[in-house]
Amino acid sequence: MSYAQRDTPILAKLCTLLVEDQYGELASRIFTVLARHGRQTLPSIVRASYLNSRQIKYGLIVLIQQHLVFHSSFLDPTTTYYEIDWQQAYSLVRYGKILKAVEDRFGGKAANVMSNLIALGHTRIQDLREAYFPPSDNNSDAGSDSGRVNGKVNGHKPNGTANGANGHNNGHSNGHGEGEEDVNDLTIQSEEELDAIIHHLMLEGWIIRVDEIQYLSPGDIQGMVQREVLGEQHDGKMPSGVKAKEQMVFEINSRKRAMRDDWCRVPKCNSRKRLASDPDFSRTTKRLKQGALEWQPRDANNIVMLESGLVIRTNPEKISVALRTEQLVHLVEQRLGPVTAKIYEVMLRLMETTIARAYEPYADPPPSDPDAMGPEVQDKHLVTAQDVAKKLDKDLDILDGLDPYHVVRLVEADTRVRYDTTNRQINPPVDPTTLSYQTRTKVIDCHIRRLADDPFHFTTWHSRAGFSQWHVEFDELSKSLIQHEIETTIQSRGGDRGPLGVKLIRALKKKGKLDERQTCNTMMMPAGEIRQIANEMAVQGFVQTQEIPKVERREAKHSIHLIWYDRQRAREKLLHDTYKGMIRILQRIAFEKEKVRELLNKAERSDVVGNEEKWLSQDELSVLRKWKEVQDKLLLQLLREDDLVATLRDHTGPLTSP
Amino acid sequence: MPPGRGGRGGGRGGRGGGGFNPARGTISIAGIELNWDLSGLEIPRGPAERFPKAPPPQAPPPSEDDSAAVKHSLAVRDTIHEGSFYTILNDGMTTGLKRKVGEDGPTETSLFNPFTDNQTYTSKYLKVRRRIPKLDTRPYVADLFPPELRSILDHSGTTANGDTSGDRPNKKRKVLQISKGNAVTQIERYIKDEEQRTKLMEERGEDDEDADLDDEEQDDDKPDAVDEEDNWSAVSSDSEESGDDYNAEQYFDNGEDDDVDEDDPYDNTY
Repeated sequence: MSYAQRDTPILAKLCTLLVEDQYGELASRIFTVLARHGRQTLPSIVRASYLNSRQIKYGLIVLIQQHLVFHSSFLDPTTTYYEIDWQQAYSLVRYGKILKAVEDRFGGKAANVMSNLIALGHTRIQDLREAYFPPSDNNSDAGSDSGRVNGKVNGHKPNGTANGANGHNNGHSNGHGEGEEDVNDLTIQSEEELDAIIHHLMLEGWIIRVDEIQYLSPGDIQGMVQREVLGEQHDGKMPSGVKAKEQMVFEINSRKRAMRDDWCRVPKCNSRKRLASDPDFSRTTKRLKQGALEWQPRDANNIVMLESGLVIRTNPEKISVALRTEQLVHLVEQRLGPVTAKIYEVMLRLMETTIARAYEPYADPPPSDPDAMGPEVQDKHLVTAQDVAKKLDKDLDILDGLDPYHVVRLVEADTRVRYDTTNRQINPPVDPTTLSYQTRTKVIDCHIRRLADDPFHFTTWHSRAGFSQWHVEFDELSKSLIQHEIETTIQSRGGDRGPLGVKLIRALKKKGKLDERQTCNTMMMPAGEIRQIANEMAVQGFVQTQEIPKVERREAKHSIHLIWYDRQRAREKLLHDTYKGMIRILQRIAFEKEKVRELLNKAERSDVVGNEEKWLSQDELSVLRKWKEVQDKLLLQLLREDDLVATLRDHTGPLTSP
Repeated sequence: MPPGRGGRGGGRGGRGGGGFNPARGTISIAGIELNWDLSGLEIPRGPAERFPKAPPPQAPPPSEDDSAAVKHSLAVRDTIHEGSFYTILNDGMTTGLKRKVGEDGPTETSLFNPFTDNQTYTSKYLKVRRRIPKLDTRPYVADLFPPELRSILDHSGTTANGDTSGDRPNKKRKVLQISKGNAVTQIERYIKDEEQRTKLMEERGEDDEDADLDDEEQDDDKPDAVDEEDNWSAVSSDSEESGDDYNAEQYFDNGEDDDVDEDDPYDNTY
């Protein structure tokens, strides 16, 4: 759960639409009851709803299976309260992005496992294995059989050896047989491979263990942990002193963190030594199109065997880390060019493994003395240019985007080139693929320094250990990203006066609360122009106003009128507007769907499926195509607005200081 | 007519209160001449348009990553819709809350659309939407559900300790529904089929002689209904060649036969 979201009705509406979109009407009807009345027991849901109790029970099972509803039966089995998991309900919109992120990072097979996990909610490993590989008694399943045969051929020879010998080679050989491989790419060949993929995703933090406590709502967890702490340390009574209370909060937070981190810990799994007869499945790593990252098993000599009773689900918090990476990379691409962005992407993805979530909701309060802070950055969050050089695609032209004069000095160890001042070119041109590892590292370090020099400070220098170690101050970056989004919105909403609005926001951000005369002085503009824009911004909710009476009668003439800018309020307003926009899109999709409903019904008919070209006319097919375009376009916009929500909501906590 | 302008600013071709003098580049407001430099300024004299054209801002086209994400969302949604949890109640309600007193709920009649909801022969092919989730097709982890709901899961065959139907060999084994390969969204399938169809049409255009032959071949492989036991469609496919017009599948179809039926007895009734 990221920071305590104000549960506005607008969010309830949005989540209801999302639930209906994914899981149908029964689930969403029950969801509306819980959204309207809050935490409820089963009998009170039945009382509040027009549905009968059988329907409600079935609907609740669907909602619980998909983690959309918390329930408190773990604490008190006699009366169970049900409560909506807003975070999970909202993240229904991110299913596609989760799959996209997993596919980018770990390949198509991992995405396939992930998509099944998403569709199933949570599942036992054993059940998943049986679903992928039906037990031998119904051996007639021809499809899976042929898959296995394929797997052995595929797994044994060409890829495994090529990869084992030389990673470089693998890329090339894969390139040749690409068409052939795409067919087999997404079929998982054996239980061992399935286990290896799941284990890897667990190590990377995308899949977590399911625990009963995860079904407790945040309030229940707080209560439970607090009771524990009080019982153990304070004899069951609330401590009275300020210091003792602080100590208690500290203790509660650290216990919550420990509990939550325990879910993410990969359980100790049995592994056996790889036998010579075992097909080498885990090494059939697919070189991804991006080329940068391949997933590789941690320990190639052991075959992982997960405990069959383990219950797993997707980690709802991890996607925000991936989304943050993507947004930062996108921003860097706009500001510093594609090559630097690529390098930044590699850096961030290196860090992703160790970052479980974008925002720590149970953080300790910052100590009053900033010097007393311990080692701020952990070693695992540090990246050097060498790490990047190892992972970076060899074919990327890393010299692009740098000052050629500087490049000449960097590469002079490798090749004799000079800078041609008349043409402003390097003469003769350097082939980036022939550079030595040392030089590559130096060039990459240059790119990283560019990232650090940007006003956004995408990277921060940490220390020198052979090479410079860099880290990323995500918290500060997230704050600037929020400010950036707010400014972009004002700019594009305002039309001609957009830049003026941004100027006003920045002036107010710098100076604090200002009255009209001070605003004029700060912005060096006549009052009339400022008044107009300030009014507009106040109506939109980005600028706050305050009136301080000077005389007792509170006359407007004798009052001081102040305007100021509050980041947190502006952020919440923008978030609210974005939610609203998303609702509109979902409603529009429903409307457009209603228009073609008859046709869609026809296309779904059992005699039509598979024979579309015969039973649907040309017109009908073109209407379908049109509907697909409309749906794609609207969904795309929905996903983009979700990016904005991620930036505004998920990456950092409340911004209290201006 | 603007009153009394002659007295002030004589010699100017003033236009009353807000006159603009292009010669001197000055403007006079309420009789006071202000020397703001407004030369080159075009002041629109007509009334402003009531609904000026304001094209909505267009979103940039999708990048490769964007379309991939959209594709994944659609694919996973289709998987869920095909699964056993997706329900459509179609009862005309918008929320699950109880109706207020005096507020009439939708009735059967009000929900009935006379144009589309009449049962026709092809209705038997319509996709049946579930009104209640079908819970007994897959195994559950019953421990994670509250006790009051476990009875439903037990009914549907999962034992409480989590062993899935291992102790009941006679029962059908419950297996999770998963997609093994790359899921293609439904709509994409239609589109792909259409492309094949247009390709087919083009090929036909090239050699007309084969066209008739193709048609006959196509008619031979008529679709069977999904249920194998259902013989109706097989019968009808036979009857089609015998020219039987009691063939409901063809009856409401694309109207191929309409122009052929010259001696239709009902033709003259209009």
